[in-house]
Amino acid sequence: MLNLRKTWFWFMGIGFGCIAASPVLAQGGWGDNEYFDVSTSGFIRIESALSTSSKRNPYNQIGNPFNGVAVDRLDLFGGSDTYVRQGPQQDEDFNLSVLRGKFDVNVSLNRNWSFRGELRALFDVDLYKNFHLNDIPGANPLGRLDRKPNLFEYRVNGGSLMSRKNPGALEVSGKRFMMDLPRFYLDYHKGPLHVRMGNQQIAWGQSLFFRVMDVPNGLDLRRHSLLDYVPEEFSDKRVPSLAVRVQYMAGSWELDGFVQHFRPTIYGNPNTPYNVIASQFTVHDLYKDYDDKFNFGMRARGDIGPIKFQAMAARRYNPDGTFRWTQSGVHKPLGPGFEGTEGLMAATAYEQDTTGVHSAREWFTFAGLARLDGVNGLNASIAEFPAAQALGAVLAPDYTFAAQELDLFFRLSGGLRGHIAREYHRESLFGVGFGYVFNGAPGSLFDQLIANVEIQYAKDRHFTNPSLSQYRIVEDEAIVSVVLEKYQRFTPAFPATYFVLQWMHRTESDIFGRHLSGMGGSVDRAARDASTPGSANYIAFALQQPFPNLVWRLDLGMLYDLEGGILIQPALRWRPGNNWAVEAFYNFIDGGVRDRNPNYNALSTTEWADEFTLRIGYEF
Amino acid sequence: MHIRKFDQDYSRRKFLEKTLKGTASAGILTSLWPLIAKSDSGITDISGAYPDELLSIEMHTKGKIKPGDTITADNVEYVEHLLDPIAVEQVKTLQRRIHIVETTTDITKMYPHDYLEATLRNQGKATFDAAGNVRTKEGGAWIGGNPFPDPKTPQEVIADMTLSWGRNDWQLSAVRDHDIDRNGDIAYQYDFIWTEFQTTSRSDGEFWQGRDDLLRLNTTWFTRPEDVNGTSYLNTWYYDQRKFPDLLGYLPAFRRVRQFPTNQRFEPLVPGMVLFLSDAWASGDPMLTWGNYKIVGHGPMLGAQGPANFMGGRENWEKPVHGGPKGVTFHDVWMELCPECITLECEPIGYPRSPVGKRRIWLDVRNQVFIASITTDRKGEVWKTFEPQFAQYQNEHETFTKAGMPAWSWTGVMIYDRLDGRMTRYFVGKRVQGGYRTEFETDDEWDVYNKYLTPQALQRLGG
Repeated sequence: MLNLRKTWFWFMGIGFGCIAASPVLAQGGWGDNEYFDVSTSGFIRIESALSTSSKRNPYNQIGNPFNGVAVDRLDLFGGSDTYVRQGPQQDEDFNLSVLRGKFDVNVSLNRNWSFRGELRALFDVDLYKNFHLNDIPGANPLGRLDRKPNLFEYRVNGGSLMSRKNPGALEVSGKRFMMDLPRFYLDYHKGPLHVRMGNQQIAWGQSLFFRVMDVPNGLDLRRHSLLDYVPEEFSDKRVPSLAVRVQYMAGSWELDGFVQHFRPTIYGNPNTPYNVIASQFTVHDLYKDYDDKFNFGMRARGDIGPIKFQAMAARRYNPDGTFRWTQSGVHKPLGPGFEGTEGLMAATAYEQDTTGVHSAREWFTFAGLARLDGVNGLNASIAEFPAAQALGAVLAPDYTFAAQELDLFFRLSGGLRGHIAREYHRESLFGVGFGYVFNGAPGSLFDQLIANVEIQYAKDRHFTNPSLSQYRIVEDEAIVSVVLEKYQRFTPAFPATYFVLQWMHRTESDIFGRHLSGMGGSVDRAARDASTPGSANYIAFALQQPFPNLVWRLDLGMLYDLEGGILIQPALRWRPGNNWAVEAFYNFIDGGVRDRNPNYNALSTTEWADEFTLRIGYEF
Repeated sequence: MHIRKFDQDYSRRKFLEKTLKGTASAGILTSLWPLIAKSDSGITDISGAYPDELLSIEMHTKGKIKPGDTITADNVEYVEHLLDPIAVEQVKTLQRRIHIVETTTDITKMYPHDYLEATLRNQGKATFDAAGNVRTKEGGAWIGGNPFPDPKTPQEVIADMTLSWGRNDWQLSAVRDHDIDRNGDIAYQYDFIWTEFQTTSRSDGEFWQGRDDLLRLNTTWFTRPEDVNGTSYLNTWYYDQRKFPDLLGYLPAFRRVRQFPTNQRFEPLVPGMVLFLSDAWASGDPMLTWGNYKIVGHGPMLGAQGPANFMGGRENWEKPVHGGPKGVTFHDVWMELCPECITLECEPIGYPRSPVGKRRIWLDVRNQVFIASITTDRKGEVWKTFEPQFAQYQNEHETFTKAGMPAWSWTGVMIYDRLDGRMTRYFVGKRVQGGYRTEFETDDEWDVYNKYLTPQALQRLGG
């Protein structure tokens, strides 16, 4: 079996060797090699996002909408009370304040070999008013990430619960900093053959933001999540991975294949600015059981007459993974007066803690936000965990019963955290793409209009069951995108405007991969009682309007979920010269464009994140 | 020595006559190309085709200017009629200086040797098809060299310019660019690589890989600064000059090669740069997407055509600079009296919202390359100049070869936006960031193709 750690060391050794030895090589025999060259570049940048919304991130303890709010609780036995969730209520001025550096080295070794290394480093200057555990009386959750905000460390479990390992190969990270090598590879080129070996991103497809053919890498959402500068798409987000990529030009056809170490999508940690997993959950990421897995893919691209054609097939682990209830393993009693239940509680999916859920209303609210089913979710945590039944939990036939049962346990416990496991599943992907360039009359709508259609078919895709049951939803899924793009010049005084209009259709899940059967839940309704959308549909529109000399450029990006959510990002890019680079952009998100429950659309998940971002960089 | 009847008025009368007739051959005393074609001396001297006042700047200016002099605001009046209007303005108002050298009469110093041979070998074999594309008499794609070495119509002039931009079947130019703002400061600096690969109109007479449906492949990629490092574009030019090239691009932000629309060719490539795709070689667009071609004049001009414009011996072939508010706006250039130039005008009829109203090009009939080009805006105001420097790559310090012979190519360009006061100037260096070196020859064209001119190559070059 391939020893990954040893392989990494080899690659790092070769790469760092190239860098370290380059001055010596340049003066010695290698310097006589006419192809030998070492070049470096990079930048240092301040990135700051100022919140312009009074809303807080609800998934974090400090943004929980139930903090300080009196909620009536009514249990199965008629007991009732009014409870005020104890938690800090503080507004955040800055969602993001980081200092970022990037250093690139490119070494041409000889006619056929070259090396590329990129160091990415971020340091958070900590203007985000972090959550402090002591602000919640009695809080003592198990799990380091849930006790103290940690912006960058990615911890996983596997084998036995709570074993830990940082899976970010070629990465060093801490609470407030991270350094990694997103590009660190050797290139070999000879004739029509190109082989790239090392840590790399692989991106496919013509669609922008809609990841139809762009399947090789997951996304790293620790750095400004998906709310970064739209014109950069996912360049900072794709999770780089150790891979061997082989490209071969067979005439005018490009054949492209890769074997890649599987690495998952990385979500923001609990209580960090862009976290999207409710912090009442403790996540057991079981990636450690998968870090010896590999993905495979191949693609062919070429022309069939006037049609640009591409086809791809991949066998991969879906980087998004699925979530299910798991035993908490936490030996705490159900609540005050229930000493002796520690063993049973450890075998349930719950952990008693004041950072958990305190009321049925909070339960159902967050089930809706997370696109889960509040009733089925409760039942799965009972049916699949005998210890829960031993503690007296029974299956709930309906919303009312479930709410009262939940309130009973919340009243008894003083707060329950849910423990969920994240696992990964193999799937087979097939895709085709067609492109055509229209050549209409000069200046007309069809003048150099580029149309592309891309289709992905996923065989046996696993989805998180909205009940968080271990019995995941397994279905085939089709994803289709249509992309239209063109330049149009409206006036001789300004350069042409670049337009992109896209539509994406997904048959089973939303744009974040959440199964559609989890849509529509709310504080007073479980998703199973909502009308599940038959499909998810998105329209994206983007334009770029450069000013003369390209010193200024105006960008506008818009994503509309036909279920009623919209994200709009106007942006201004300024290149004043002398190596300075400035970008400013504003994210406006409205999850309630249509008069219906915002939990039907995907974008309401980040509705709280209206913000103005400024980036000022200096290149060298 | 020529007899006195061939004085300056004689030349002027002959040029006027040529312009009015519209069909005259190059040359004043005799036709230039037959003279070149019949020479078997190994040194093809064109001095027999022109009177001395068209070969000697000293005689032409009646002794006011001579080789070795420098044109400044103090003496530009004597050569004002030999410069494009923007160059005159630059000398008068921006402290631009122009060095004057002897006129090149050895035609072999004005071409890549194989291109000159192809031009001679294939003269008389070119014609136009019904669509306006250049064909051999047999109806095939062009087989190398200037198709119309002695152009008589505006279509022939633009065909000579367009079919083989750089006159080399393949060339890779490692380019260092400086963009100067209106205050005279260097605001932007880029390194980029410009490579051209002819599939037809090749000096070796072949159609590369049988691709007679294409004219050329042209890749440009940037290696500095970080903001644009890896940005690369592949233009696939069709032989049919009515069709827009295909444009593939690798943008670092997208991490993949995507197809882009290609009809907008009047935009700066990168921030601060005045260069448009359309400006390249004064014929940056397929020639049949422009129209209303007219020859509006014949006459001598000053052009940067000689070997003095090769900076062999200087660090990275960097050109000395001068002038402008901070002394860095202009390349030092060495101009010679070009005895006969055709002035061509054309309009971007295929681009209804183009900011360019007209382009005027001055073309040296000795080698059919442009020595100056200016564009006007839609209001007719003189807007931009595109002024190249060409040279055989040989001087007393260094000879840079192609197949054992001194190479010939462009060595630098200045593009000035007079309405905005911005200058883009770049030179062909020996080597630029990324380790890319200027080259004109390869022993393996298939390797060159795969290395620089495929979608896969864009992906690799982009990183």
